Amino acid sequence: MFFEIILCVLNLFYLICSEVNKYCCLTKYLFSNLIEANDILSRKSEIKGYVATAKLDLAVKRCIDFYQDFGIDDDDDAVLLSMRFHEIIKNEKMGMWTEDVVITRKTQIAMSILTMIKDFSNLQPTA
Amino acid sequence: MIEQIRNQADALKTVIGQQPKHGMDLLLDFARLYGVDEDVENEILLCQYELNVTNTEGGGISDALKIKLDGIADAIVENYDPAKIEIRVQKEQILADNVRQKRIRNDVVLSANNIVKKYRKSKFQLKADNIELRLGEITGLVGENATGKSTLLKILAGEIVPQLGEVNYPLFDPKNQKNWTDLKMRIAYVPQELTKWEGSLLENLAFEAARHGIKGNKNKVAVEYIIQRLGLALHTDKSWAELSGGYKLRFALAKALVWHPQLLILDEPLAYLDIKAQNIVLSDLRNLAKSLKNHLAILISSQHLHETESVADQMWFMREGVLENLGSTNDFNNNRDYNLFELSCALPFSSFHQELNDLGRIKTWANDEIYFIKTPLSISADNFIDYCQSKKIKLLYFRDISQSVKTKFYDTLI
Repeated sequence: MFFEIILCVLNLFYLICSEVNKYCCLTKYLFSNLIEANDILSRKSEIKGYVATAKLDLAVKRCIDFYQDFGIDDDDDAVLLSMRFHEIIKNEKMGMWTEDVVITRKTQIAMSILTMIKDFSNLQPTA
Repeated sequence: MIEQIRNQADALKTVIGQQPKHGMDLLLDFARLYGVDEDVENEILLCQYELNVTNTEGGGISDALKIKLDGIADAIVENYDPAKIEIRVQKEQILADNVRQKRIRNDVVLSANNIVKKYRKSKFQLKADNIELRLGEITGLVGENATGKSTLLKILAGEIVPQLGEVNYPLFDPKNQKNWTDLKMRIAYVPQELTKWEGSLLENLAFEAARHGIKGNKNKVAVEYIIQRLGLALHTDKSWAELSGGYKLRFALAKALVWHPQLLILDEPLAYLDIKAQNIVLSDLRNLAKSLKNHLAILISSQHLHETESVADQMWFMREGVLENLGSTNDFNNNRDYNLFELSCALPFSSFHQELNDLGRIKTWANDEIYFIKTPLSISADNFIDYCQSKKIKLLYFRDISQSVKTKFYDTLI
C-alpha cells in the first residue's frame, strides 16, 4: 500500500511536470517584479498567490491595479472592495469586533477578490 | 484515464493528510489540469488561505478542512470532462493573447543634453549629458553624498535652471515652448525635505487633485483611488503632526500621484523609511510605473543602492558632479572579466585574506567590517561559498555584487 501511494505521487509529479510547459504561467505564484503588465494570466496568478498566502493587503492593491488596467473607466469595484477591507482592519485595530468576526469578514474579502478576477476574465472578449 | 485520475486524487488525499501545505499545492496543480472551471481552483485557494490564517502549530490541518479538500479532490474526478477543460484552456489563451496586444507606450518623457550647472562660491560644477526618461520605466540615481544628485533632480524638475544645456519634455511640450506654468502641472516632484501641510490628508489630496483640474465627482474618485491604492485608508484624518516620517513620505507620494502625473521625480524617498516600508513604497512605485493604463516615468535618487537597483530599469551614477548613464540594470557589467563579492565574517581581515591563498589570483580589501573579494570569472559565488565552507570560514553576510552599480563605488580598487 505504501509503495502504491509513493508510485501514485511520483506519477502525479511526472504528469504535472510534463504539463508544466503548457501551463507554466499558472503552476507557480508569480510576483509582480517578474510579471509583464499585459500578461493577464500571470497577473491573476499573482493575486491568487497573495490570497492563498493570506497577504490580503497586497491582493487588494493588485486587484485595484488589475481593474485599472483591464477594467472600464467607471468601474470602481476594486476600490470599493479595498474600502471594505480597510474598514475591517480599522475595526480589528480598535477592538470593535471579535476575532471570529474579523476572520469571517476577511475570508469574505478573500472570496470577493477571487470571484472578482474570475468574473472579470469571463466578461472580457475572448474572440 | 479516469481511473488514473482517481488514483492520483486518492494519493493526493494521503499527501494532504501528511503534509497539508505541500498537498494543497499539488491539489491546486491537479485542479488546474483536470478541473472544468476556475471555481474549483478558487475553493482550494480559500482552503490555503484558511490554513495560513489559522496556522496551527506543526502545520497540521483541521478535520473540517481535510474533509473539504478530500471533497474537492473527489469532485474534480467526478466532474472530469476533457472537452470542457479544452474549452476553458482555449478561452484563457484567447484572453491572454487579446490582452498581450496592449502595451505600455514607451515614449520619451524627458531628454537632456550637455547640462552644466556651476556654483561660484563652492566651485562645484554639475555635468550631465545624454539622459532620457521613458514612460513605464524607473530610473535610479545613486552616488556618494554631496555629489550633485539633488541639484540634478531640481534641474530636471524645472526647479532650477542650468547655465548650459537644455531639458526637453517631448511628451508634454512637443514644440519646446517651455511654458513652465503648464509644464509644472505635468511634473510631480517630491523633495527630500517635505513641506509641512495644514489640515488632513483627505483635504490635501482633494485640493491637490483640484489644482490639477480634477473636480467634482472625478475628484472624489481620484482621491479615494490613491488612498486605497497606497494603503492609507486608516490615516486620512490625520494631520502633519500626527504622522511618522514614513507616512509623511507616503502622503507626499499620494499628493504627487493623485492627479496621475506622467513624470515623477523623487529625491531620497527611502531615507525615512524602515525596511518594510521601503519595500512597500518601491513595490508600489514599480507597479504604478508599469500600469498599462496610467504608466509613468519615475526618477528616484537614493542611498539605498540595492533596493533601488531591484526595481530600476536603468541606473545613473553621479560622482563629483558628473553623471554617468549606466544604462539598463539587466545589462550592467555583462562584459566584465571579474566577479566581485562583499561579505562579513568573524575573522579579522588579515586572517581572512590569508585563508584565501589557495584561490590564486584574487584581490581583497576591506571597508570597516565589510570585506570585498575580486575573483576571476571562473570563481563564481557558489564556488567561493563552497571554498569558505571547506576552510570553515563562517560567513555572516554575503552578496554577489558583480553586476551591481555598487562596483562603481570601488572601480579605482577593482
